[in-house]
Amino acid sequence: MSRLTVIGIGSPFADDRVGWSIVELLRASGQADAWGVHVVMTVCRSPGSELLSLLMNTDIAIIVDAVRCYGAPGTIYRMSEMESPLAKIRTLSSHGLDLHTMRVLAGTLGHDPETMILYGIEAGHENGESMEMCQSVQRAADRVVEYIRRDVTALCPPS
Amino acid sequence: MSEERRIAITVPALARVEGEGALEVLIEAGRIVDLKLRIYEPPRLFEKLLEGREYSEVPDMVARICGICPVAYQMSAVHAIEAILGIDPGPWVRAMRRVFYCGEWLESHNLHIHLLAAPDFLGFDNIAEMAKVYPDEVRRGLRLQALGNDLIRLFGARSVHPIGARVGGFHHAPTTEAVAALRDRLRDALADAAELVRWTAGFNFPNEVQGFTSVALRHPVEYPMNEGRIASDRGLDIDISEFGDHFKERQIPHSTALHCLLGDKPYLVGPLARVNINRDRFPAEIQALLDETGIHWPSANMFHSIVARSVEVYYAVWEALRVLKDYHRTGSPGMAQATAAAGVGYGCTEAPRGLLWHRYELNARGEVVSARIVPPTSQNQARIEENLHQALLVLGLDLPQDKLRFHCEQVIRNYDPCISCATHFLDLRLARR
Repeated sequence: MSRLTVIGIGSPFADDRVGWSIVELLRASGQADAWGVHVVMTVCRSPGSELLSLLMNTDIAIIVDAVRCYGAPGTIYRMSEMESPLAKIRTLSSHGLDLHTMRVLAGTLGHDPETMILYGIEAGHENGESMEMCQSVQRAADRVVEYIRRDVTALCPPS
Repeated sequence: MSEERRIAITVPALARVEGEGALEVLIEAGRIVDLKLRIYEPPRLFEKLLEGREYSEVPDMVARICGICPVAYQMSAVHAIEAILGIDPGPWVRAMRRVFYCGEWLESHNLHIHLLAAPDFLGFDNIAEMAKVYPDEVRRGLRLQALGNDLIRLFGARSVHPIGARVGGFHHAPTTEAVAALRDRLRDALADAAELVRWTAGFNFPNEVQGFTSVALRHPVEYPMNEGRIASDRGLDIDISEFGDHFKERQIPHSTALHCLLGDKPYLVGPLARVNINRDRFPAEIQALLDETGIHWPSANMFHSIVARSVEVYYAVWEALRVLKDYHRTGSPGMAQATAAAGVGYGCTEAPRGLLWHRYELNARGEVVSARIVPPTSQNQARIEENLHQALLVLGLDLPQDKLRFHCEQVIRNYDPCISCATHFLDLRLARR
């Protein structure tokens, strides 16, 4: 049985929490029980060692995170390696660590996921002091939950 | 010739530190005439944000100061507030807070050793390159760090910005099954931690011995985490409430973090300072491990910090195992409700990077009137500048700029600075005239 891990990256604050919220929504929906794969849903802080451990222990990784791509708040970006090489996505992490480095490291250490999909949700620009996501990002979170459900159906069709 | 002697280097950001800052060095006629560790992250104003908040809100708020060491902020805060409210949370809470802290040391120290510092000593640009040659060592580090995260999660409900700690104790007590599972992993991790100490002790260290004052908590019998007096290796021995009488913070134009000095002089906090002052508080097997490193302790070589950090990794595993050996679940992991009281309280604990001092004043409604937080990185800032100055002179100012820059970065990483805590590193501007 394939192992699928949905990973929400972020923090408890404002739109940065969208990755965590999507994982919470997926958990609450109970849909994972019907997916027919071993599912782990979890959250972490940044593309660091915790993410590395998750990548080393899954076959399919779906990663959701808030991004700043200068689009309208709530814009959804879906990237798989076939469509847009993750190697080109670099973060400003002061650890010098990014998603691509973590993927390469996972491979060096013995196991990297066969499939990795990244959902980026454009964060708003004016609610940084709030604990709540802006409405555009909230609506995007609901849509990404549906997109992930479709991804899983396509990647792991019901037998 | 004059054009050749005036050189400026700009590196956009220093990798492998917690946060962002810059270093500016001006070398004139073969002399360092200016050296500034610039911390330019905006002030975060947490102390003002706390004013007017009810005391029970403080632990979760201060945890947000740092993604790496939230436990330390929570622990210094709860101790200070409990002192005001006259709360003694009892031996169960005291012991479990120690395990909570062990989790944070494991998480933070292993992140720093493996992902940030070790590549410097082994000649790699980053952990991805290092892992090609040292895969087993990297896997070991990841196991130890994951163990730390799971210990934090055990008490904090999550490893990121944990929410389980409260004034008077914890919101919940872990199940015996959850503790038993972690106890098995802790037992297995002892061998990993011992190998880690031997690995780091075998690194090639620059022979840079400098004179500096080490400052750490000192407990009558324990290796310090949550409690103790503030002590130095030069005779200081004070109650935590006397911190302000001896340590002075001052504004520096080139830093949004305050510089803290002891008697107008820089000083060191963190793992090396703790080991220098408290190595006699380690159990015999860890003192033997220290002897096995071949390093003469106390050490005045900041490059030995990575070994001190590794020894503390071993101790954190050992101590968590000791405390959890006879774990029993309690039905009351925290006091139900404390009575609000006015007063001033102090909390001082040993964050992974060193002494973390808090002072709170509460009013009769239990609201914060004033808060003061002195994080370890702001205490180390002046020492980092002093260290860099001395290190560059020993290294030789005529060396190529990339060598000078690399050495500066390595010196700074020895301190595992958390610049985000202090207000985030390295844009080096080196000018020669």
